[in-house]
Amino acid sequence: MRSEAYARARLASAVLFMLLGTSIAVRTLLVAGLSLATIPGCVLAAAMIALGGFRLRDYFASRAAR
Amino acid sequence: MAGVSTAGPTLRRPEEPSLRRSVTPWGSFSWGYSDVGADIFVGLGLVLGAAAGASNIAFLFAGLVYVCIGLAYTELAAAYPVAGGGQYFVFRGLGDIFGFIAGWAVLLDFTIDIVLFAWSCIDYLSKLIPILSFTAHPWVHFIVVFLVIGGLATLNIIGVRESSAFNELVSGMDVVSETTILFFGFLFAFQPQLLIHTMQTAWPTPFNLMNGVSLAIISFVGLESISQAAQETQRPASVIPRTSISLILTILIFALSYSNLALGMQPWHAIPPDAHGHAQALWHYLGNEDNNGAAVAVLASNVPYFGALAALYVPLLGAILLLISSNSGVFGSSRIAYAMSGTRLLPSIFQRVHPRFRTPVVSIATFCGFAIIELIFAALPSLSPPVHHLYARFFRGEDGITFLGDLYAFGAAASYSFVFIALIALRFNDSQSPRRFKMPFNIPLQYKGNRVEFPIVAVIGFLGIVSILVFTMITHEIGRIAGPSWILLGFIGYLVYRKRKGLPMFRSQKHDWRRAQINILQEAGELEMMDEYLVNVKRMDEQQALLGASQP
Repeated sequence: MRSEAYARARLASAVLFMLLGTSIAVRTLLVAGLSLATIPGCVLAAAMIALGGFRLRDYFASRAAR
Repeated sequence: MAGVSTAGPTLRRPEEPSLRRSVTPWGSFSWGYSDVGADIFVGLGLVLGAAAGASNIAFLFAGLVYVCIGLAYTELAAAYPVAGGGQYFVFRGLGDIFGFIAGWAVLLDFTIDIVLFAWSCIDYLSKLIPILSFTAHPWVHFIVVFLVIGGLATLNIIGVRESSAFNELVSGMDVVSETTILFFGFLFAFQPQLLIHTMQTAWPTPFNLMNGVSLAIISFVGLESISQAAQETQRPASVIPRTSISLILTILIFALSYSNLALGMQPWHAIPPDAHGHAQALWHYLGNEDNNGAAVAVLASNVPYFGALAALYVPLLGAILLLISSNSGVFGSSRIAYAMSGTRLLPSIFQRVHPRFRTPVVSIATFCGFAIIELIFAALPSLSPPVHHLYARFFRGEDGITFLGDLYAFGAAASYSFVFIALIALRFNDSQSPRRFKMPFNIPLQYKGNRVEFPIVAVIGFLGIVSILVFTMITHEIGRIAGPSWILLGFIGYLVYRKRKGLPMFRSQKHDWRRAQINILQEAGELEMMDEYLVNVKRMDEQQALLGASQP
């Protein structure tokens, strides 16, 4: 499973998750500002960005190891 | 089942087969995913039905507790890579009695797992084959679920399990499918203003919010699979933390995404009016009795563009994933019972293997039998009008799937509470075991001359899961009675068994944990960790000898 194609698929999903997370955070904050109702959206966005970051770090670590 | 495993190397007899370590990092991820990933298919509709406009808050609270639980399991599974999971950690950290109680609570969860996921599997299939619908044809639904459980029990007795490759394929397809659904949903139909509006206008009562939180935890149950994978993974101490964190984040994202989408998505198709002819919102439609068993499939079919395709395959994919999860309940319960029997927490009959198939036939038959009893209790109100009136009078008319959800939440919250305490105890009592992964935010302390780290996140997680346990007890009439009754009856049985065998009833037997840990690390191929452990043990012995010599 450590093939180049698998690594690239993970890289693509990492970038997508980070973009989607950023988009959710920006759209939610633009509509309701900083309020209690925006917390779930912001946490979801943060989790998406964290997963994307985690996969990016994994990708670069595996590339550096090769 | 290829070979019968026990919870730990100390428990294994020399002639007993051990598990082959052949699980890859992706295999380890997919193993966990096929178990925990199926939960959202069941949990979404139940939580929407209970917590309404605060469903995302319920998932958020339960999700944060789940992150703490996941981190605890990751630390413990990497330090003690054995298949027993929570039961083994509690047994090792807190001794025999608590090891039994935690294991018994896990067994409750596994038996519920068998029924709940088989039930939900048929609910998802009913979206393609309407005759299987629970609300329209309760007897057909009941018989088919019964046959599924019987079939799984038979397959497990004759030793057939789904292959690792099949597990990986289904998990891979589901990750891609769920990611696509949420991308299309968030890009084309998610409206933040609708989400805010729903949260403000459909905010539940505190009672319903507590009910929703207690049901939301069922979307995150199944972390035992991390430990089960640990026993069969090569170099688990380095692989498990990486795959677990990815698994934890993926599951959290799916749960939060679906709940936010359900509350803030403009559906692609018009939602049919309710039974009284009133217009209803998407979240309300997903949480009603017709759809709460298959909410993910209904939500997916309402995602713009992709929904046309999703309506065709999501019910089938969900049903397969749920069937795998139900099977993991059959397999897991027999494995835990077998392991508990090996440590003399349960009678030795649970270790009896079939002479031909070499599988723990008594364990499988017993816990599938419990699952059938739970199925009957869950289905009875729909099958028999007098029982329906009885449930309506005494249990607020809970439906079958909610009844199962209650018990599932109780078992999970009870066993996870003990795991947090065990983690703290093991940090103090077994500081010499190397931990390649530690929960973040620790306070360094000195304990008996050793440096130990007190885990703050474990305390937060413990408070979170105990609050969920309290919510379960407050809000679920059936869970409040059946859950503690299960524990109490099991505990009485445990005391009788220990007395008959002449074993200490309220104390633990003597265990050689040092030898056990060396065996565990050796079998895992973690030889560096084993050397480190031996050095730590030697240093601790020297320190204690010095301390002893300095005292008069």
